[in-house]
Amino acid sequence: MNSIEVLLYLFAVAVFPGFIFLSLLGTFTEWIERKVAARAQNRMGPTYVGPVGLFQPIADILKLLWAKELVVSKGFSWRTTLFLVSTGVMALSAATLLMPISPIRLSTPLDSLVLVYVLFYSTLGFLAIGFSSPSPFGVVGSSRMLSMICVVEPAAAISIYSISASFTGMDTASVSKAMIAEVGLQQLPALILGGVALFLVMMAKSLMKPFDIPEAETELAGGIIADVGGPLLGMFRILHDMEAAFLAMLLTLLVLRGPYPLSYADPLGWVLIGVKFVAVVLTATAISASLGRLRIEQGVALLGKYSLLVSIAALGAAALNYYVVV
Amino acid sequence: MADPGTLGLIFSITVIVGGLILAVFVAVTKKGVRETEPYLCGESETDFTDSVSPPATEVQWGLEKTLDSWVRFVRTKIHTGVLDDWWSLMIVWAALLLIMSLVRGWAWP
Amino acid sequence: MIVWYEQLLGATVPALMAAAFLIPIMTLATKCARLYHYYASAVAAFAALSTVLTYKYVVDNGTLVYFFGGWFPPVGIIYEVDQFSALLGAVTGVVMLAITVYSRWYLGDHEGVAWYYTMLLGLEAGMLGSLYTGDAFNLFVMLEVMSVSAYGLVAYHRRTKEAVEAALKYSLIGATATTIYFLALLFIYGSFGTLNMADIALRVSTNSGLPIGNFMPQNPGLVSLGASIALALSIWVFMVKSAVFPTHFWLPDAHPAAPSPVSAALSGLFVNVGLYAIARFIHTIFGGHSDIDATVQVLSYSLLILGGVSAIIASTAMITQYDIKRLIAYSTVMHTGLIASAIALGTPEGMYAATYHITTHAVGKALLFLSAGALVKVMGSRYLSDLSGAQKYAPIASAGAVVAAMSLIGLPPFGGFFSKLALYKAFADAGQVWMVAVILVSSAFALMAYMKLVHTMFFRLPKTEAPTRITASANAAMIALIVGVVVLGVLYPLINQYFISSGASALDRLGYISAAVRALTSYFGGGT
Repeated sequence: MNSIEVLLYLFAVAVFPGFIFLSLLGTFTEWIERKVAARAQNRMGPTYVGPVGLFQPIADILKLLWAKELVVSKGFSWRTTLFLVSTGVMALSAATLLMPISPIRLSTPLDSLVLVYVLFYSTLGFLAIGFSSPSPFGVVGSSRMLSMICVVEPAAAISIYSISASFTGMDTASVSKAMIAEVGLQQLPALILGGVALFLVMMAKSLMKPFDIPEAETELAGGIIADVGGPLLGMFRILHDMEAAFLAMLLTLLVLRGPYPLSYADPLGWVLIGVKFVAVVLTATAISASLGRLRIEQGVALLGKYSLLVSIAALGAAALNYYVVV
Repeated sequence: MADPGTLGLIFSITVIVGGLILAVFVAVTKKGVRETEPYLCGESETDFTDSVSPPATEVQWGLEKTLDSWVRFVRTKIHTGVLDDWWSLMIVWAALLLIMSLVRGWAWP
Repeated sequence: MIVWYEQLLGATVPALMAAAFLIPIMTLATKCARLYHYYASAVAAFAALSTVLTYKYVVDNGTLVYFFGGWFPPVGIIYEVDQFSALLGAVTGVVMLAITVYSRWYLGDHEGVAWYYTMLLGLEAGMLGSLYTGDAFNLFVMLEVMSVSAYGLVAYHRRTKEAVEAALKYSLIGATATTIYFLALLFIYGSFGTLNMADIALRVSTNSGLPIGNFMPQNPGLVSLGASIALALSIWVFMVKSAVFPTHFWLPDAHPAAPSPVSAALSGLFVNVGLYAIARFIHTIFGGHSDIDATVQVLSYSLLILGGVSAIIASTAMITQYDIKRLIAYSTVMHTGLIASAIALGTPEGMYAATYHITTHAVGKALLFLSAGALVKVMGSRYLSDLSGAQKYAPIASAGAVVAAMSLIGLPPFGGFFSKLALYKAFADAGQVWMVAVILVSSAFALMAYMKLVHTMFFRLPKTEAPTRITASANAAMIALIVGVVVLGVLYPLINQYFISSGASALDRLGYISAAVRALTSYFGGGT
């Protein structure tokens, strides 16, 4: 890479579509969630900051970031936890560079699996938050998160791998190439199965109901963020929102095929991407708002059945298409 | 770039260096920190850490509960700890290998 | 100049043996524990240097062939070190050096230090001998040397019931396995009339033996029958040695019962020998011959499936462990399963991935066991719940455990990520995509187990005051291995090619044969 490419890379990671863009998109996602959930419960939702409360999540996060950190005397070092959460944020920012909306696009064979392994940093951030707290509720929250992760991470990896593989071949499985590839009838089985699995993964990873088991405010005093506050909580909120936005974007671009039937060259195509993104978030929020929380073993079992097994079915469909049909 | 390993390397360097910068930025832009007792739902910290804190070894409870029958199968049916049980599996496998290789390699090449 | 240098490198294993058996004689003169510590470290340093130089020599000059006592093959025993065995040998030598240095702190003034080092150096000599040898019967001898040392080392804490039970079970299974390998050798000798690996490979593919010392002009037995039986038996034996399901049962008992440095050597390096022998037998020696090909294929396929089953079962067993060393021992079963599957593919990518993963696993697992051993000794218990807050008393050991665990899970930029990526690529290229799912699911289960460890060590408060301190030399050994794990990942673009060529040399049957033939002809004064 020469110096211009390096600068472009840094710009992409830091500004668009990386950290700044993705975190703003994340707050927008959070706003939709809060607004829809509020309307479903006959409340107003955020109204105070910005038009129809659009900037409320940003204001919330900024308030937390500017607050003083309460130093827990017996817990784990909050600076290390902050570092772990920040690596998660950066992992999500860097991973956007595989998407076609990025000005500099990285693409290699098997980047679908690289994506999943890099995103593991964001999972570590989630886990570190709960484990670092001295209270048992944080630990229980993170344990539940971990139990879900053990099913959700392989499901995410297998579904992203098989969708990518159905477009670019089992040995290439490039998610960046799959996002801009032409969709045909033979990709549909893997796309639908993988899409279902990935949708559940998104709901579980962004802690939407019925999978907000780690947060479990009612049964216990709190979940992973039971006694986290200040900048650490602010960074956690950024991480959580970015995770939700990233996965919704991945669903939009990979499963819903981005601007399809238009193209990236068409300005209307970008509008269509926006519409699809909002539709994904709205669907997830609607499901989330209309369901109650599951118990942990129910949640893991549900994710195992409809996310992990379905993603393995998607892998089977992709392999069948690749080895038998083609 | 044609190599996924290099991509992983670039990403992980970005993640670690960027994460460090971000964490330092967030931590340093504070006016200062003070040491306080955390708010643990109104109870003091020592109460929690000394008594109610769940054993560190029960982290896997959720997954173990879900995979109950499979875990129990692996623990009690396969890893019995009895040498005779192990032998039966090992010898059956040795016999299978022999039969497979003889059938496929010699009798029906 | 080259000749004496070759002789020097080839004499590493006998020298190690001699050094090991010198210790019992030394005990007649002195019982000073410190002397044995220094002596063993010096010998291990010599072995590390020699194995690394051997690897360098093999990379620069091609396969190294060493005639034992000047006896030419197939009459005498030869050492034939190609890049595959040289790389594994170098890994063994270097990791064993760290383990030996660490042993000094771990054992201290324990009464049996002299015997411990006799067996530890014997173990190293056996492992290097098994890797370097070019003779199937010498492989049997070296396997026995290595295994007998291992039985003794597992029973080192001979006053604990657990160690004695584990060593008994282990030695019963291990001795049966090596005896069955002897049976396999009978079939090989009966069908080919030779025990030299290059000679067997030559006879398998061309039906004629080495140009000199060829006492039997053609294969005396039914090649396909004898080779099939021999292959089936020896693959089973090597599966026992490398602990692939369903022959892994001895491992989760034996490795935790052994002293921690020994667990590191057994889990990180011992199992590699079995994997190496599998690759040598199904690819270098018996690969690529039409009569035996069907057998090789059916064995490879069953190995591929069992490797996957092994990974899933071992990772499930990992979830529920409360004993830190047992947890790590099950992780070894999981990784050997994955490596065995990659070897079974028989493609250059598969062998590259296997070689890379063997290396990252060896360094990572040795680090994990050394760190766990340090934590166990410092905190005084093997149970996870007693290790809470260990990072306060053993920061380097805890850091080592985390780095090793993250590398074994496959977090970038540690070595394990790149070797797992190579595994994915190998399985996807070979069309075995279900193994991609197996690796992902088993890694996720392993994640649960390792997070238990990380959570306990870092995020819990210490319960008891730690009585023991870790010395600088033990910390240095762990730091060296931490650096190794990081370097194996971060320097990936630079070191990648060595794993590719090492993996490829395991598949290079003709190169293996011709190196032996060339050495033989030049021995008798012929041109090269």
